[in-house]
Amino acid sequence: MENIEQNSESGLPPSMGGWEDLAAMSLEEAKSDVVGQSEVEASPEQTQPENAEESERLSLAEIRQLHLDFISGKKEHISDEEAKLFEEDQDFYSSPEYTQYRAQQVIEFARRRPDIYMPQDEQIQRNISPYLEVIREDSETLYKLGSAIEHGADAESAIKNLMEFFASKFGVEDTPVLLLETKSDGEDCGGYNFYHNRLRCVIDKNGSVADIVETIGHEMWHAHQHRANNELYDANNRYYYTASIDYEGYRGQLVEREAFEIGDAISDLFRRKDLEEHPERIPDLEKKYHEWIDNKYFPSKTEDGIDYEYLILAHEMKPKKLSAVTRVFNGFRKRLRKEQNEQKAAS
Amino acid sequence: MNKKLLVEKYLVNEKKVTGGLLFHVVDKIEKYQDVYDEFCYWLEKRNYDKENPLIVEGYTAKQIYELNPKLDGIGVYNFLITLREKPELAKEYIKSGFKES
Repeated sequence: MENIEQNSESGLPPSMGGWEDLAAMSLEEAKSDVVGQSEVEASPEQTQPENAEESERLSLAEIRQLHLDFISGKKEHISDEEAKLFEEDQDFYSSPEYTQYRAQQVIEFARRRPDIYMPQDEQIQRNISPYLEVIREDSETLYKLGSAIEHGADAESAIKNLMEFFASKFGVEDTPVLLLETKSDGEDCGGYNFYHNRLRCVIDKNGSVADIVETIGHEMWHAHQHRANNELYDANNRYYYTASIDYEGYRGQLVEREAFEIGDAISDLFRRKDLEEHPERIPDLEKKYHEWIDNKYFPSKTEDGIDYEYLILAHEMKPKKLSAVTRVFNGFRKRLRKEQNEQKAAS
Repeated sequence: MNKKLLVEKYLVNEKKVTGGLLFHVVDKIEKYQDVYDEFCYWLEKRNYDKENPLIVEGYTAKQIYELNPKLDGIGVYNFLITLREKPELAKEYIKSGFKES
């Protein structure tokens, strides 16, 4: 999903009650609110404000407002002049106002964080399961529409039909506009832009149809989230982790955890159906696995372009082979871990 | 320049991080002094070439950047923290090619 900031018109961060509330809150009160959140405790530098007097060039209140403005995203860019003012005002970062503001922001964040930034599996499943069940019940249609992408001459039209399918299942009344791109770097799969209601789908020349089905399912779930009138989704989208800032944070946040989870589940459905219809696509699994083990490498795709996830599913569909391969796979993991531990011990 | 200011300016101006998320990101990057120091070094030089670079689970910042240039800057150093705290998960992400959509 693309990063979309939703700033309040007042210039205050949307999660805040207002500056007056913060000013009334002592730092001790603020800190007591985050008991147990050791990582967000204020540093010694913050707990010992040294000087709260106004700067010579701008009053502390003005600087505070300036800071508030750019923190809240009211200003998209800090000018050199503004930056210089901050640099010259050495007292700002140690002022009680700034300290309280920062503490409150952290508290606000910590309060929301468990549900948004560390969602539990149960929470994710509770949200996506009803929708996934509806898709499962209609997996024939999913497979038919997905296969049309592979076989049809007009990929764009086939993808649009798939989007309509998800829109009806996820309750998205205004199906997004499709922007189709073709690339071969495999880096980017797609995106959803709420403001323009556009869904971008990147077709990787080396990718599979199942990847496209997964991407469309993933992005259409974002479209659903934006229409769900859900406080947690809205808060997450307001303070959204982009992958470029923190990949772990990006993958772990509520809106992405759900979208990845439902996208994976949908592509699993598609792949299972595909293997049922085309058993000849099940490769010689054990041979492949042994090759990988010898090379200590588990690629997402085999050199002949076979989707790794197909292999996993194929294992599941062939219990006898699965147990044999799983034994080998686990043995490999164990050996690798042992080697890593030995390396650590040696260093 | 005040390191904290330097980091905030970078996050707000270049990475467009706003609100509580800014402090959350700052908290994370400040968590380990060695990672923080190397990140601040990168912030000033904008270059991953450094003598005796930090190595986490066999990876330097430069190697992470080469694996995924999109993580330029803060993303690289945050990923070093993920490698330190959750090595298995981090390696899964590397293996899957930093899947993103």
